[in-house]
Amino acid sequence: MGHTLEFLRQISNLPTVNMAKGWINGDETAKQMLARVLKERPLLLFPHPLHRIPFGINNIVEIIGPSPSAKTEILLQVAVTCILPKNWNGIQYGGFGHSVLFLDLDCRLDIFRLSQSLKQRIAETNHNSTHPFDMDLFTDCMKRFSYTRCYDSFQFLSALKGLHTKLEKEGNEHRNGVHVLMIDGIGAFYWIDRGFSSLPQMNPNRKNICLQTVFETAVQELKKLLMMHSVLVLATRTVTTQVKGWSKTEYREYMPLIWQSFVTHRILVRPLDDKRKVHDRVCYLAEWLLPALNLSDEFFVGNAGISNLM
Amino acid sequence: MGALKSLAEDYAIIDTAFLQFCASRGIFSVEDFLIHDMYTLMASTEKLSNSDRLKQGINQLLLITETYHQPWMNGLVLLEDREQNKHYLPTGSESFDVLLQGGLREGHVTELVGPSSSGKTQVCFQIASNVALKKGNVVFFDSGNSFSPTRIKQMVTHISGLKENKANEALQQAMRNIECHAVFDMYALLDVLHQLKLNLKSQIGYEIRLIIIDSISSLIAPILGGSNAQGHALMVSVGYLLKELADRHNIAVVVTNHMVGGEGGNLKPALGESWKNIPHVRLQLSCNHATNNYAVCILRHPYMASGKSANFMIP
Repeated sequence: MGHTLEFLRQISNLPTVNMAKGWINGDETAKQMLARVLKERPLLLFPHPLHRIPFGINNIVEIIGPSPSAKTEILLQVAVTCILPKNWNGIQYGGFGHSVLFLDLDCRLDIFRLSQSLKQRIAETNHNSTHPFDMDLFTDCMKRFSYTRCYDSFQFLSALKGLHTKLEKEGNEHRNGVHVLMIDGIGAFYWIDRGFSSLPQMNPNRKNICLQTVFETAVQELKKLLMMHSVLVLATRTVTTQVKGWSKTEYREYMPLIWQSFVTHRILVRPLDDKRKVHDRVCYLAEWLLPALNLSDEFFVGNAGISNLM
Repeated sequence: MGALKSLAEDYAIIDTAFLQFCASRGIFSVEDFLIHDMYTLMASTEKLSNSDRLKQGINQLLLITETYHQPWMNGLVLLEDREQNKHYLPTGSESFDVLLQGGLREGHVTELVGPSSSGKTQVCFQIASNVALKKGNVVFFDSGNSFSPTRIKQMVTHISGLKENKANEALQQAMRNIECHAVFDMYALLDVLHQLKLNLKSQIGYEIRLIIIDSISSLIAPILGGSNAQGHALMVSVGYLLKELADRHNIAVVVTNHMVGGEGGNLKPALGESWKNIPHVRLQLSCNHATNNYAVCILRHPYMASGKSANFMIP
């Protein structure tokens, strides 16, 4: 016992031990750490039908479903929540104040739908106040939404490769550094890229241009992006059925494995089997496939956005 | 895009040594470059004597590829472009226009689906006549020899509301505004579309307001089928080409898709699941032959509820 104490007294004079002690003592309390982590890596709770799971930075969320199944609409409603500030001029809007990057591979987005939904959300929040419509707020929000469209996989890859530079530039302008990257129609060029794979390369050194290499590169680029920036990825993908009818397992999986395993969350949306309508609107069903939750939500798209069916 | 060699002329840094370095890694074209990881490529220059120069070359190539995608735009700029450049084109039928809040949208690809004799071609004629008379140039792709100048003349005269002898000048202008291409296969269609794209880019003052393809399904359906991916690849390519033309040059595009017998005798569009994703707007036409009344129903729209419908007559 005496030896041990002596030994401890001796080594405690060594600088490394002091460092180790300092490390053990810690420099923040759990409460401080939680506050810091939640600020740097916030958990985001998205609107219906994605409301079951809070998402964090580095999550890759995939929304799959037949066409049409309100996939782009879900992205747009999430976008509205993201670009709205938490509060503005003392009014609570409950948004995140994050920037949204919309990579449109389907090339079908009509910006009018976003502006319409955003205006509606602002007007609803201002419902009780006497303020006229706040144009400055609208402008501020719309500026947080960035958009580009790609007509083929090479444009998609070039856009991905340029994202790091773009985010760095933006990082200097905005303090709040969380970005939500939306990719609408990740499988849009499936057929074109598959067509490429039969082209002879004439050189054993040369990489074959095909679906596989396109997604190898895309996933690689996204992984690098996630390491350097606070990014959350939301992607939509159109799927088709092989068998008649819809259930969790009946859609045709056509994406390369490298993409499939990159995705951290997957939700399936589709029109209801009984083709029910509410207020003359088509109703949809949302089911979580990854993680496999045993719950499903029914929703419909109205003028104001997505509403849950009880 | 294309061969790296072709860039050597414009960029001094892309020299023989750089091309050799790229070739040794199997990179001959910009496309090859895009499917490589930059960091790995940068790292592989380290052991070489001209490493710095090669890195500069890679950076230059990166800068070049940056221009290959459309520039990023913020929501406000996008909304402004839409409000200033993308208008509604009236179809010539009032209830049709009311349903669509003003007509067909420039920048959109609108698809008309319907069984045979549901009025697809007649609606195409009417939209073409109305736009040619009031707005400007129309390019009409006719795949079934159904384009009828006599019918167009009749419709233009009817829309203008003038007596036939007085309508002459307006009629001639409207007829001149319609350019008709008879196309009987996919390759002919792609050929003319690429030519149009080139003309729109290079000829200043050349404008098109409307492109009609009647019918696109009869051009695409024959090349689909089997395990062959080429047909689908061509289908998606033509879809994206149309979307690009529509957005870049503010053109409204209308394509028709006929219907065929599906399971259980139900009719379904000839172009199915993989095509569904292409058009912005999908409208279904039907016709009550007894009363000569037509109906149009919205099946998909970027910002309008599906399921709404309207009745209309064709003069």
